[in-house]
Amino acid sequence: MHNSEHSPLSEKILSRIQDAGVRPIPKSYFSLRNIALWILAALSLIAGALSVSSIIFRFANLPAVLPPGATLAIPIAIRLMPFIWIVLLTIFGYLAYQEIRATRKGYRYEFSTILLTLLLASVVLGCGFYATGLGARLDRYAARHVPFVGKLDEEQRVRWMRPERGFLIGEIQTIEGTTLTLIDPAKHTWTVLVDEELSLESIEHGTRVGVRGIIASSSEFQFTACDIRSLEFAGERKAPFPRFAHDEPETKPDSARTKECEGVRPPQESN
Amino acid sequence: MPADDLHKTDEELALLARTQKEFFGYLVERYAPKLSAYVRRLGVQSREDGEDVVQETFLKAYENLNDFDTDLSFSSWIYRIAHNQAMTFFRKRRARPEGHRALFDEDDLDRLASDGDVFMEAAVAHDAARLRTLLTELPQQEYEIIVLRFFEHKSYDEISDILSLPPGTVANRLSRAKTRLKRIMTSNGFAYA
Repeated sequence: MHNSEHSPLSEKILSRIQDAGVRPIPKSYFSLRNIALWILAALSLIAGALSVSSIIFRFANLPAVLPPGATLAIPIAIRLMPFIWIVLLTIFGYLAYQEIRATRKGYRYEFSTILLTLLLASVVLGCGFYATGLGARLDRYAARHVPFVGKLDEEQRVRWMRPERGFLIGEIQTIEGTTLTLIDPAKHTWTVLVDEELSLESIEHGTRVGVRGIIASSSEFQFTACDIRSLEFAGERKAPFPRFAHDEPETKPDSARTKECEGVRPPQESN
Repeated sequence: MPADDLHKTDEELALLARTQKEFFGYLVERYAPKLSAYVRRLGVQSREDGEDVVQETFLKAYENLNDFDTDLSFSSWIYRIAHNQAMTFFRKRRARPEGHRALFDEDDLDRLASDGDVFMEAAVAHDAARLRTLLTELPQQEYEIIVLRFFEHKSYDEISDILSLPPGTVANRLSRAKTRLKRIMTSNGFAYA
């Protein structure tokens, strides 16, 4: 084969290739680039799924922040909403979309197909991360280090630690029959007298509980419980799966109430 | 060109050109005229600029030969590079391609009319000269699709590969382009529907 067989334009182009020393870029470069794009897309998807796990954690546990019947002021509710995770999910979703589109055949996928696939994969993976406790750990980290991200634990403590108004929060230390001791966030040890009718099934040593009742003796830190419930957040080691029972009414039936507990009702029920 | 090489497909030549540069010359022979016409239709007007864009296209293609995916046709691949080079040219010149679009000849317009659209057929038959001018009023993205579909005779899948768009988007954009063209024509006094 000889170059003179070509037209002047071909000759010109072949000469330019020759003169500039242009060589085909190795195949491995393109293969690696394509693999790198898929890896980046996968990483973006994982980051998005982690955001989903924290979104689930927030929504599953917002009811646990409030005592039954209480409502959140709008500014506090806004601070507790998982906006940061929604923003991160959007950013990583967009990155994953762009990275998939930039792969060798990525342009052939319709926008809606990529979007739905990413969303579905993020939710499925996000549920997995949530169940392993990753969502909770990430959310706590963000609450500590990112401005304007409200701390669920702190809000729960503030809302429940009002013994004079009939709300007490603390960690169970001992359970002896119908008497238990708990340590409140200020490190005071309370003796809580529990009515026999109340179920203590989900409560064990170390469980964070919320108690609704009345102070029997403030000087001796004694409390009479009319209702007691676990306030452990779902999505953590102790309660991996979401439950939405935190805002249920007090568990003790009217007929079983002691005289002391007659007037103890969540605000909307006492109206 | 040896007789054997004459019968080689573009894809075979592209694979051979990876190791033997001379085969790339045959691809240049086959595609230079088509690509020159294409970049001219996209709006690269002067002969020198057109030649530059086509040369850059082939240089880029040669450099990226190993990225050529044999699932694609070579034609779609080289048209994609030419399209990108033309867009780079407009960007470098800070030129709006709309202002430099080529006018179309009679054959080109016949192709547009042969799409089975009565309105288009009538428009071409009655006032081809004005239709030529009005075509250049389309937005760039829609204009490109019209050029590829009617003047370069590309299928939807080929246009999808050339413009790196999903086939569904190509179909939507083409339909939008035709609707807009009719609207432009109607507002400019065409009334053959």
